[in-house]
Amino acid sequence: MMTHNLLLEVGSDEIPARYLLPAIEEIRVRAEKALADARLTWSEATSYGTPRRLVLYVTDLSDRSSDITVKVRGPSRKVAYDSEGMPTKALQGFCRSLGIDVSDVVIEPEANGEYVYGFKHEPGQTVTEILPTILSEVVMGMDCPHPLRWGEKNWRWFRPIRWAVCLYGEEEVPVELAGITSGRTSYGSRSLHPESLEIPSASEYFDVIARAGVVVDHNRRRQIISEGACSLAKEISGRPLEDEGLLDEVTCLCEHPAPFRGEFSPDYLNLPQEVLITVMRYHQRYFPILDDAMNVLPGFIGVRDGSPNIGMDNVRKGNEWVLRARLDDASFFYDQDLKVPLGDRLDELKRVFFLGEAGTLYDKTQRLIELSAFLGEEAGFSYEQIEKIKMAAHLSKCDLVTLMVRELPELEGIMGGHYARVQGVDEEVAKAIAQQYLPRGASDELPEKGISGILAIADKLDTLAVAFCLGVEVSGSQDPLGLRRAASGVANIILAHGYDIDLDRAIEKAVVLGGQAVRIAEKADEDVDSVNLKLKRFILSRVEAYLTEKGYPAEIAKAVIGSGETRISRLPAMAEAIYSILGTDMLIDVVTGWRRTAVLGSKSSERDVRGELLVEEPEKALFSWVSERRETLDRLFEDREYALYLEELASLRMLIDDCLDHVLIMTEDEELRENRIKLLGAVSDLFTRMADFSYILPFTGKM
Amino acid sequence: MRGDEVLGAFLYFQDVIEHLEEFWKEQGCYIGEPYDIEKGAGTMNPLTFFRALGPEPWNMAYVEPCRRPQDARYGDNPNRMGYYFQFQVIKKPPPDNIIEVFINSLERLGISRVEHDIRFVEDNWESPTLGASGLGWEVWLDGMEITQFTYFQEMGGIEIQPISVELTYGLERLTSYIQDVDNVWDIQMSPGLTYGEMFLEQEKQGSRYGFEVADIDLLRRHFTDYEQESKRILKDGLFLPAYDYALKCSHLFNLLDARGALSVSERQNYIARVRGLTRGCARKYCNLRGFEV
Repeated sequence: MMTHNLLLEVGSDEIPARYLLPAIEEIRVRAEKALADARLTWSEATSYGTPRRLVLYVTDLSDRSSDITVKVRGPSRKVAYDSEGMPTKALQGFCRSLGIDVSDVVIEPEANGEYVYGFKHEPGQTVTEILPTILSEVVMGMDCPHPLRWGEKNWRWFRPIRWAVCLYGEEEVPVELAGITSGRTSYGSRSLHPESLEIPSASEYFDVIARAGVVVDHNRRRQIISEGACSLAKEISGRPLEDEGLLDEVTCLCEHPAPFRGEFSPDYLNLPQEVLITVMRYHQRYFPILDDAMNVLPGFIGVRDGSPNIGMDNVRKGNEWVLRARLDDASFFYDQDLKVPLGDRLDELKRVFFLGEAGTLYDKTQRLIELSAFLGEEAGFSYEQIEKIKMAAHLSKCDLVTLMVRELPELEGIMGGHYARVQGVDEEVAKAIAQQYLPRGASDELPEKGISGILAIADKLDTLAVAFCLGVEVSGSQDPLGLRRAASGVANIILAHGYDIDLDRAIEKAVVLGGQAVRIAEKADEDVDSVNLKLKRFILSRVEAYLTEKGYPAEIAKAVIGSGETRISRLPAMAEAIYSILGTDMLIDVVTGWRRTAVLGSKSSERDVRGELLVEEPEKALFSWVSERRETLDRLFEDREYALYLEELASLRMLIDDCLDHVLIMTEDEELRENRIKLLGAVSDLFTRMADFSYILPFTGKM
Repeated sequence: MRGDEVLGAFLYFQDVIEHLEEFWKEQGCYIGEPYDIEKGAGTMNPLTFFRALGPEPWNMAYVEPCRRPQDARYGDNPNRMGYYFQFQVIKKPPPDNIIEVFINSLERLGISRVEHDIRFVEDNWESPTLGASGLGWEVWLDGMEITQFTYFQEMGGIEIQPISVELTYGLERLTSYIQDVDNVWDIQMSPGLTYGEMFLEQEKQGSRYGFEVADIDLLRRHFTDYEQESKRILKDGLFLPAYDYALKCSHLFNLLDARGALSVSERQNYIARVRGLTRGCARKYCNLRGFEV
């Protein structure tokens, strides 16, 4: 068998940067699957891409697919042969469909009689027969999240496909893609080689396309940009801001990267660093340059698509011109904003609506003052601290009506904190304002412990409460308000910082406040209890995610959440205590003790055990143990001594076994029976407040 | 002056327009005139709005003044105004090499693709009042956004086939870059005449009117009047005059919005009302022309 290398290049209008890296990966994965399904063999498949082309390269691809023989089940023997043993029409038809003679079949016994089997031989095909079909499907079947529709046949892809090259060795393979037939004609970089060019063979593609000004390997472009940025930044004793997302984006915005360094006037350095970075990073896709102390230097790294030499002065000057205009704007906004004390903007918030019509940001501010103070008290903050929390909440939304935040919405919170600080507001308060939106995503940092964390919880909890009161549903990818992120934020801050906040009470307070806002908007008022419950479940699902991310098995996370402990910052310690006795006899003692008491104990919700009705020794012993140890148990539980608490529970096993083995619980005497059930109920409560041990059963080998 | 490498001559604002018109005329476009009703974007010109619908080819280029009261800045901002000019190109169906053709149009202005950095950065366009959307890019020239490049996908709430390409050049941006001026008001229109001399006073008065002075009740009243008139005459099959009234409603809505007179839901409601009118016009047009919807 011969092998050759395969090249497929799909040329298109500029593919959006955010789709490019996934598309490069996807075309390779799809191709590998399709080639394998077609029974072809190869050594290695790789893929590359630029905004204008996706490239698939497969080495040592076999020139034929392998032959196979498939065994096909036919009619039953009774149907296949008549009474004289001659082949029937049914058998003849079956054999015709397989292209075999009636004498070629075999008969095999099966559970319900004998059946005829025939062998179908599928000879391999040449690779050039196979490729046109499968490669067309590989490309046109790609997942395009937001496809563009074009052409006579309403083709759909990322952007219109303009050309395609498909070569097997030196041979052209005609693949139909969106009305275009592939050949060997490609195009170079728009600026360095706009003319067409011919690709002689698959293996020569990379040299030819490189000479036409295209760095087709995205990893190589990434490296050129990152190394170039470092050495350019070094010229002014700095280094580029590390930002993988930006690096990916600029890599996907060019075919031939040429990094350059531009400058801006040091006068702009009196703008807050975050403003400088946001303007450069988000609006212009530049790498800001930082010194060793992380201060922004008056320069930036841009990446041009094209020649590193010709016209570089134009490009640099042009980019500097654009940046200057933007920084001019920003300076104007900054100066204007600082003329008004942040607190004076409160009235302006009455004109800005929150979540559609659920009141205004002014209303939200009033709710945040109350909610954050409540949470601060719950978490045990001092009077002075709570006054600071209220001050931070009071000012928290004022930056949303500043010119700067209206222009650069990414800076919400950050500008508020900055303006507050400059205008002489207490440092802790300023910090809390700046950190109220943290964490902004799964990997983002948390607000600091202290009042910052409290305001950040209050902000998210209020949004959640109002959204749930409005009946907003979150499902799958449908989460336009970012409620899942908000709930994760609430869970992560409370758990990571250990605020001793009772989730039930916090939710209840937030929903009462949020519900008022929703009623003001005359929106349907959902039943408060059901909102509380939905919101609680929603947040607890994020608590579970937090615990499993910390490495606890999902069963343990579910078990401790199932305890009903709503002071959720205690859950990690509870999970840890159970986790640390996994695989020990102690765990078996605890789970057994729970299982034996919970089954009967759950038959009653009353717990008023009457000592005088206990007659058997084992039940008396169990009762007196519980009565004597209750205070100790409560103290251990409250003091988060969960390991010791579990030891106590384990030590109960013998008393429980003794009682259940020797006392007839379901006795005919109703009074005695009720009393015994109440006793078991009271004992099982000691277990269930620690965990719902039904989730732990699998770890004890019992299901 | 940046565009002088090729042409060897200073390009005034009027020259930029003239070169673009020349260029697109050579590409088979009819060089049109602006439409005489206030509008927020060149797309609203009926010769784009209606002609994007249906199967017939359509190729046109024209300058269109745009009014966006919300973007007005009292003439204080170097490149943001409430009244400005777009150069609009519509190609239906577009040639396969439409991007190359567009780059050639920049070269006609002396902006060489080798000497400059021309980039296509994803930017998808949407006009809620026209019920229109498209996919495309903003075109960056040395880091500055100079053109919106859109493949229309929907117009008047109708999925269109074949699709058109719309190019919207920001004439002030482009010219201030070519002339190397920091401020649109300093743009040289023709020898001895600046953009500021012509339009700064209008920008100041327009800003004050839109933000401070406009009579909210009157604007609301007129909106309702025009809306009713548009609906009434559309029933009679008069989709073009009905569309004129829809444009007037759109402008009144923009003024009310700039004036800060609309709450969030009211705003949505006004947008939906204008969209209702433009959709009705698009449908009527297609019905009368026998196009499938």
